[in-house]
Amino acid sequence: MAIEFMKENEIRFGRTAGGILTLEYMGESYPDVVLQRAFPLSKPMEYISVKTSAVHKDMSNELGIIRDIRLLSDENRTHVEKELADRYFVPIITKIETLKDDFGHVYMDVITDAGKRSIAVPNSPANFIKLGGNRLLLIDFDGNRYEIPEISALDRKSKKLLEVVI
Amino acid sequence: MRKRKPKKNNKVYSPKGQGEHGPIGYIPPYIEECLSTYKLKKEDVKLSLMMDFTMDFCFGESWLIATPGELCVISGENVPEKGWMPGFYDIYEYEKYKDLVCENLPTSGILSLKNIETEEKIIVGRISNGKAREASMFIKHLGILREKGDITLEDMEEHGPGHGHGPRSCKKCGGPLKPHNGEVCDKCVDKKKVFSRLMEYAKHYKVQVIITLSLLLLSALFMVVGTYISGKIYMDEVLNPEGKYYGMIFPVVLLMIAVSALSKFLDALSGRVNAKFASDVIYRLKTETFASMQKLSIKFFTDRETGNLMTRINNDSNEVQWFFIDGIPRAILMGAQLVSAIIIMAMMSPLVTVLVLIPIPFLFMFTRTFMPRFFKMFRRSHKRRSDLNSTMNNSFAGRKVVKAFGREEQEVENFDDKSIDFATVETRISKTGATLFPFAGTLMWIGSLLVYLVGGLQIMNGNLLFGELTTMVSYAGMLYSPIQWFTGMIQHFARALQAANRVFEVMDSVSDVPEKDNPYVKEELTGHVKLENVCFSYIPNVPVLTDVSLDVKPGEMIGIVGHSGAGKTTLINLITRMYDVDSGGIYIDDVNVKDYSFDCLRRGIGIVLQDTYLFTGTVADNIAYAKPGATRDEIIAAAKDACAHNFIMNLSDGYDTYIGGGAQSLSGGERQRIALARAILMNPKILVLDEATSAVDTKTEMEIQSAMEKFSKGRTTFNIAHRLSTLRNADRLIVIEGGKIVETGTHWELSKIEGGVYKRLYDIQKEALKVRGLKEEDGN
Repeated sequence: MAIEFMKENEIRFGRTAGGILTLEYMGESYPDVVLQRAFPLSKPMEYISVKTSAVHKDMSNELGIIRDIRLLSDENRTHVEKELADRYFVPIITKIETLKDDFGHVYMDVITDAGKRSIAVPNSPANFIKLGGNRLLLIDFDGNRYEIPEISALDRKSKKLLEVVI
Repeated sequence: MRKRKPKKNNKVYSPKGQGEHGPIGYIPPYIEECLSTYKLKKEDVKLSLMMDFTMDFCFGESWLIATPGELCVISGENVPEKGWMPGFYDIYEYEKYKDLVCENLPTSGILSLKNIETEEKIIVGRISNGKAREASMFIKHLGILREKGDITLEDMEEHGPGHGHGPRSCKKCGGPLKPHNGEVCDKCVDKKKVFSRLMEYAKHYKVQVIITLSLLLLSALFMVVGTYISGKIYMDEVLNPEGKYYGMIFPVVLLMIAVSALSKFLDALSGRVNAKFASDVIYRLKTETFASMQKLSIKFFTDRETGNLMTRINNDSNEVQWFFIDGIPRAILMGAQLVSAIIIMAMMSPLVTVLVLIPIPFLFMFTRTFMPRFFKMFRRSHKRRSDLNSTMNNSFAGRKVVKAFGREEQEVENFDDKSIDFATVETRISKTGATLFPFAGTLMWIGSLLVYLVGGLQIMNGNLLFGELTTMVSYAGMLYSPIQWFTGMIQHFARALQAANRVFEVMDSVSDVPEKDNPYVKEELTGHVKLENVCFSYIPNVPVLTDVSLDVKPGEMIGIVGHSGAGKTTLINLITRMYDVDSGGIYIDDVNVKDYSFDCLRRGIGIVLQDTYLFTGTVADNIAYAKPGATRDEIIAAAKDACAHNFIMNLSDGYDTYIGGGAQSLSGGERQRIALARAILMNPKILVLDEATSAVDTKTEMEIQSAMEKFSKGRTTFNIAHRLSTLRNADRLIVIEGGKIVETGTHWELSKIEGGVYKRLYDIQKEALKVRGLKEEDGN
């Protein structure tokens, strides 16, 4: 089956007062749409599937795929970026204040773009995932994710602390 | 929705640490204080939920508070330097909004309400994954509160902890517990306790421990004495004309040989005694871990990879074995050597002793600085090695696919990449080692040099004898290696303790499907199965079954139909008590399944699954797996009932045919029939078939069916099948969709419901058969 890419100039995203994403597309209006990334890690801003909110997980309710959100109008792109940021919420760690490797768990106090947080990450490769040489994904004890997009861009102290675990 | 802005309030509220809040319904003092600002009464607060995000997706705190008539959202804000400050406050009246729902996103959860009139969804809050369970409980309790206008502790108990999803809390710090935890959380594990618990195992071997210990100490002593003889005594007393034993070269050299040999002999002896003791301890540890794993529920295993569990049993206990065989004994040996060498040196020359000790802090620092790097490299090498192994494993396991798509070269390239990675790390380790060790040697050499220098000066002054100097130089060497060993081994000890802790953790894990203390035992079940308002979910907030009720008479045959993922297998998982229901109840012969002894339940219910697993052993062994004492007559009879007899007779060794793990030589249908025979042999009152005949051809299936018809007389049977023709003989069919029973009736009744789920499924299958040129061979 061929991929159905959406026609960018037909897309009109909107948002309700309650914070729900709406869409008008090819003359139809959809009161509650959901966006999904096909490649959340490798291509987060391309191949975005647009769906009506589903009743059943197997049901196909995909309206189409946005090939690249950079092709959208500014207003639409703002809506999409906000929705994706909320849905795939991953705080970016900007600084590591303390790090303690204790008994198989790494306890860290980190500063993220969403605020300060104390996290506990099991000390295993499955929880400190290297995506390429310089990008690090952390999955904490509860399954929450945190990201360091560029390890080399961290300050010296943070880098030094991080060295213990990677 | 009404919005109220808070009165000007300069009060600062200090939040508690994240994730450490009390039970549902509890609000901390700083929230209680600000209730009045919002014209809320404390008595009206029935339920509460702390959400660990602010509305703008920052870490922080906002609260959902439920009163009998309204749901209130207090969203706060983290003010720098001041802590948490209450912000906006929203009220949602129950009569205007539908139930609260929690949507699980990949990395967080969103709680929302829907307006009954406008159908508009409103987001009321966000939570991190750690709060999902609490949120799911809150939603459940809120449902009760809305329905009854009030909620009591009993209601909470009934739907609360102990029923699967309640958050358990750590006995020590009150923080949340992970499912695998026992009583305390990972943070609160007491390392000293792990050590002493490990030592508990040694208790059973008191004699061996005392023997090993004394042998080790003696060995250390002899080594120190040996050095003393070859240095001080030989040089100063034998070779020196003024010495006590002047000229007695042969006897003293013989003594030297004897002492050294004795020391080595004692060392070897202690090693032998210890080896037996350590292996025994590890054997106990392994068996106990394995036995405790067997007691755990199926959830424990589905949550983890099998490989991971095997690592736990094998690698972790090997790590612990190191602790007993190498770690502790060598620590004792080295410690004894260190102490006795220092004492003797101090007796000969305190000044030189002090000088010898000078390089020790440097050595310590050196090891502390460079050893971690070394260990890191070892870890990396370990990782690369396992990468390499898994590449090989992948390629061998998928050899058919590799061949079929002609990707051999790519596989070689892949392997080559990993192999180079591994080689690179190994090279670095060797290079680093080649640089570091001579350097450490130099440090020690400086120590000896100091001894030579100062000792030499002292000899000139007549304060020290020639032999004493030689002895001291040897002792200096004996000091440095234990110290280096100790600093290097600190991490190794930590690793061994970690491994021990992981092993203990498994041992302490509590099954989430526990057997009752005084379980109910019944010789023979009659097979009356009743489900009352059963609700179940594997993951909080994602219900799999909701409000399922069913009454099955003894001997009835129930066919279960539905789309894949509808909840069919879950239903039988609950009946067989692989999992426990979240709410509602399942009764067999009017007794709750939770009250039965596992033995009674397993004997009474025979299960045949789609993925049949055959153990390594003969065909007969496999059939008799659940009933080891079965006679050959019984085994053949069961095989005949399962239509397996004929093909088994055609195997080279009949019932004695040896099947390896996975039973590659048997076809899917043959394996299923052996599994069926296994269940039949148990002669259960309740029989559960989950796609049990999916892999056999139509003709064999019909044979099995007619056999089953005889066999299932007087037995309650649950049969899940995709091929609907399999279920035609069922007394009753139940159709499950979206976690609910949507249709019940016989095949004839259901196939007449226009627009019904069953009719649709049935028509699709009939159509598909027609297309393939087959005709449904039924009496339609």
